[in-house]
Amino acid sequence: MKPIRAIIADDEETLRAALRRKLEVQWPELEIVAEAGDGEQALRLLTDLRPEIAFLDITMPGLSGIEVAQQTAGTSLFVFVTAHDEYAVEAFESEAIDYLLKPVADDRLHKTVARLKTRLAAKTVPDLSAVLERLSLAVPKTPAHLQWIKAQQKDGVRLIAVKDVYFFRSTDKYTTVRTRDGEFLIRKPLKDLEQELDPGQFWRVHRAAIVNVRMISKVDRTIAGMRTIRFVNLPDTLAVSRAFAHLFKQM
Amino acid sequence: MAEPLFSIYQPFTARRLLRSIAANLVINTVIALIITAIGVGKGFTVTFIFSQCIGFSIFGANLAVLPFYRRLRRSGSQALLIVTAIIAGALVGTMLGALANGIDPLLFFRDRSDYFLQILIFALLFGFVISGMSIALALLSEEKVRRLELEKTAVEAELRLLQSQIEPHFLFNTLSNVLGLIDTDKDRARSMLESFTSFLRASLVASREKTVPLGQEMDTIRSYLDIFTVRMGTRLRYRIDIPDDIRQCRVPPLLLQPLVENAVKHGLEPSVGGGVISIIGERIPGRVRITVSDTGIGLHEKSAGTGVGLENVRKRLELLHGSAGTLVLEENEPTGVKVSIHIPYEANSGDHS
Repeated sequence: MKPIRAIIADDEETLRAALRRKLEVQWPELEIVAEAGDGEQALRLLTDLRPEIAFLDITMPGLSGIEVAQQTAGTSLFVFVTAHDEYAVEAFESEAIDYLLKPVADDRLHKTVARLKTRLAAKTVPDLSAVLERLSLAVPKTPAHLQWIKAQQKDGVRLIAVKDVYFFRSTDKYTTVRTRDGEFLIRKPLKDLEQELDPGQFWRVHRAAIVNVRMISKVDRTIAGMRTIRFVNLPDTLAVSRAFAHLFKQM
Repeated sequence: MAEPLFSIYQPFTARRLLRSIAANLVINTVIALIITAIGVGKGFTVTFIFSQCIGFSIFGANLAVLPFYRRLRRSGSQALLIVTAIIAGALVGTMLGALANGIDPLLFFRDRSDYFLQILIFALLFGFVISGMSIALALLSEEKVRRLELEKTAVEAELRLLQSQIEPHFLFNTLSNVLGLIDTDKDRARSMLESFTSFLRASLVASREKTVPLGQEMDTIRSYLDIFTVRMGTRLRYRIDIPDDIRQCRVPPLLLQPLVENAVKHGLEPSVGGGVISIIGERIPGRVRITVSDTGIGLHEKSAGTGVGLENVRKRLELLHGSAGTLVLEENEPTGVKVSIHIPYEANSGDHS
């Protein structure tokens, strides 16, 4: 009979070795053919070796365990190993998917081994694509909007968190970024910024200004009907042009 | 502390207005009594009527200019506005008082100019003293509210910080490593457990002490990084360079921990090849600069996640040092992130530790 082969992927070597030793004791016939220290390596091993079983850490450099599983769905039985990824553990518990919590306990591993043996005997690799899709949704993803501004300065590049910005204002060739620390100049034009910023948080209030609405303390209205934006802990003010005044009309 | 009668930035509620009116009545009566007692004026009743009219006029004038006061930025123009309001209030009040006493205000100006001048001088004198005092009180109490709010956010920040140290992911991964090493490499298991213990102990100290010496803070950071050195192997290298002359400088406990944690979590851990973390302290005139840099993957425009840790460090610096404590985030050369903080050099602790 052909031996059952497995791989272990985890970025921490000690943990790979510990799991290997536990498996050698509980399932001596299992052949652990390779180990991977990052997601991309795990993906290569899965495609090249097509092992029957893969133990995948969730948080790995390169690709996450879930992404690796998604890209190789149908080839192997997956067991996810995680220390405490709340989002994932919740998803695992609601789905019939194998997972182990670190530190891996012997009796829990025993159950997993028994379940894997049953699945292998059934000779069907379950279709996990729907489950993995839901899991990948549960794992925090790259934000859709701009998060960091890089401003070139004399002695280096300043990194500014977008959420700390009070407003962006265009000045000649540059855009001024106003934070509590001062003003910074960037080359990115206002119309490009507008495309990349979260439209729920950043509003265009003037041809030449985009404002972070979370930083607004109040909007004053003069007798002439002009609106002026005031900020939390900042003396600067910004005028709202008539074209955008409707944004601040009362509900 | 009681709610101030006169608030510059908070809206005037009906309750506060009633209390202000009551206070005005009392103060105006006291003024009339004083003036009568020193033997000036034409009897208590007349002075009492003048005093009430003038007092309320000045109060009304102050209320009327309040919305404009809030819009002015420069303290010079704010003072000018208040002075104008008091003078206008005193003039109007004097005329109203004349009317209420059955004196024709126009005749009063012309024929009894000495008496009129006397009233006006008292009106202005008391007007400035009373208004000045209530503005000072209002500013003081608002400063106190602002201070309390700042303290509240700092306490919240500290709470979050303490929670983050015993972050489950960190805890369980570390324990898994210790368990994994016990069978194969007892010495490394022991040293990891030792580092973990001293880090946990420092976390507990952080909940009690306001500041610790920088040298002690660095020992804690070293324990934290030693744990990750075992976990990440050759992917993590670090260097700590704190000259002896700043090891006594007081810093809030675990101030730097979120910066180092970010360097590990967002810089080195996601990087397949890993990198180096450097923590360098320098004495510069009157201040100390500490730089935490890593050669990890760095921040790109849509990187998430380092916000809360940095925000906590900023808030703690602000609470402790005001504008003298700064944090600057920059790109590191050639890769990664560099965070520099500046704090005043303080070698003696304010508390008993």
